[in-house]
Amino acid sequence: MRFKLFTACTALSCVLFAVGCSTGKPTASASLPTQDFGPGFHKVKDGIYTFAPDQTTTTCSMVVTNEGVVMIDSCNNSVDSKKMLAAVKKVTDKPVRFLVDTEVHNDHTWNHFVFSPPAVVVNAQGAAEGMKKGLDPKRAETLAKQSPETAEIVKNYKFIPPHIEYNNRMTIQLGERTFELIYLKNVHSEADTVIWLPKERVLFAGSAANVRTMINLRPHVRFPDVLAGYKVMRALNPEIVVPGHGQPTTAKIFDEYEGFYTLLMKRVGEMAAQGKSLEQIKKELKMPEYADWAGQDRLGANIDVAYSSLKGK
Amino acid sequence: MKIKFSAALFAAVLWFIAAPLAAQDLGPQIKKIKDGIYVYVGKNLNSNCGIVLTQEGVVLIDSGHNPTDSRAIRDAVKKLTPMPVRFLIDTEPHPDHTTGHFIFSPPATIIAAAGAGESMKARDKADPDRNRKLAESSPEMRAAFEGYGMVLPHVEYRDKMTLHVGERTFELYYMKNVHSEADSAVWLPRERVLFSASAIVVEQFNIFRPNVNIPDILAAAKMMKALNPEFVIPGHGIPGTTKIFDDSERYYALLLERVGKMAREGKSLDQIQKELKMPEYDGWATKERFAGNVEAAYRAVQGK
Repeated sequence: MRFKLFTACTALSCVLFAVGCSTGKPTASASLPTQDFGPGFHKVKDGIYTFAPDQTTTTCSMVVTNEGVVMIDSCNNSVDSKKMLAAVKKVTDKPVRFLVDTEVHNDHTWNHFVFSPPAVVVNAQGAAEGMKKGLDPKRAETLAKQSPETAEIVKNYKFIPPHIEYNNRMTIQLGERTFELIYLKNVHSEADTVIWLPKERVLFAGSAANVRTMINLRPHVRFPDVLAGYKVMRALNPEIVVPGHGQPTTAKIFDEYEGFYTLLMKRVGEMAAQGKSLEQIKKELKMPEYADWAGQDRLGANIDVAYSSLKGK
Repeated sequence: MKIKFSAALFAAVLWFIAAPLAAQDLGPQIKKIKDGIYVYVGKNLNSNCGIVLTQEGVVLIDSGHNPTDSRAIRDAVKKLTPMPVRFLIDTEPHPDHTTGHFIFSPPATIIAAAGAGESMKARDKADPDRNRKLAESSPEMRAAFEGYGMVLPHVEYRDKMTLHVGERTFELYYMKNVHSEADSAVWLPRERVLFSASAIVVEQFNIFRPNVNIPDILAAAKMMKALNPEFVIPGHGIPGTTKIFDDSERYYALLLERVGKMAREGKSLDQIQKELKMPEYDGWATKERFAGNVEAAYRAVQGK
């Protein structure tokens, strides 16, 4: 009896050991339920998680591989970055090897310092210049006043521009995963990157399209380039699309934004053809079909871009 | 007196710690190019390896001709700095530049032009015994292969990319059809140092594979010369200046002229390969590659 019990215990131990050995920490815990990370986290696929607490806050994501983690953006604020780093540590004991920015703006890049070193930061050519242009030297000081928690984190702040700036396309191969980086021109910031995981069919789409929100369009954005960007992304045939802001969704967001920008350009074009000035158009134009979208205060900037796009400027 | 002696000793110790290592202290293969930039010059025209120190770690250009060279390079790096090798940039994917990846990565992130990983895998498949045979060549080589695993590039760029590490900038330029499936020139603009890969080699005939074209090599040489480098470190051979490009341009111009003349006389490629002499280059090494050079010149003059 004692022998049988011993044998059973040994067998059970062997099974447990084998499971432990065969899976290892990175793989075994890469499928942790997201409630273990706290509110705002979403599991996209095994080993792929995003932190997207609502429709508008900057999304940041982690992709776990058997050689380390790839982060997509560094989160909206330093507290979120620390939450993400804590989640990473729950999933794997391997380091964050790469951090890929989808754009240059502060809400995606200011918290590089939380992840790098050791992370190698990557974005398209022009990202460092774009980051420097948008840098507020007193931002750390200002943020420190928000809460003791933030103050504690930002005391280690350091400006970290990308280590790697690529032209047009680049591929990262880390462990079993492939990340294809594609530069999109004039779609949001000075250097926009979308990240495509072909095997997993997951696309990190940056801020060219978000979730039912009027985007803060800068003057250099051009709708023909934005629409071309949607075409590129749609052609990848993604199963899941993770936008720069908002929760994971599908390629339907490209259709929604294409519909919005096409209608906007049509109406702006008609009003311009009637001889109306940009100021008049901005005062008179309504888009009631999109009244439930967030960011209504940005409609003026969207009209500016539509007007410039139509004028071919 | 004792205080003075202690102070002098302290100063001497400080000087010893702070003094930059002379290149000769790093072994006979190491040549200093500029402050913080060294080259491990391959023996007998074996491949070179660049060692670039930065405030945030080391960047290597290639990983040495074979694992014994890679370990010698790693030892030299350790004498130069306690910082890790952060990045390793391949100028090409061939095994005489890439077998030593495993010595440096992890932690190094390996960067190459697009197609490098596929090229490495294809070569390994085509010659699966290469490393075993190389390891058997000497006890030192066998020991140097300990822990070997093929490590493919983590990053593959197309056309151009820039790497910023600490105070230094590295611009990577893809060069098409110049030597391998994925050739990169690495340019340090502030330092005016260029790692020119194996598109142009020094005092030897280059190897021509079917994808390599003389017009593309000449275009790459023109592009690199236009960068106006002070120092040029080829993939193989003694580091020099843009004279390396001039010498090569003269050689190819003469080769094309003579092959063109013979082709116009109605001679076949076989005849040209048998008859053509280039006595001006009798001093160059790897003469067995000359026929391949003639074949490439023949393709070029035929516009193929």
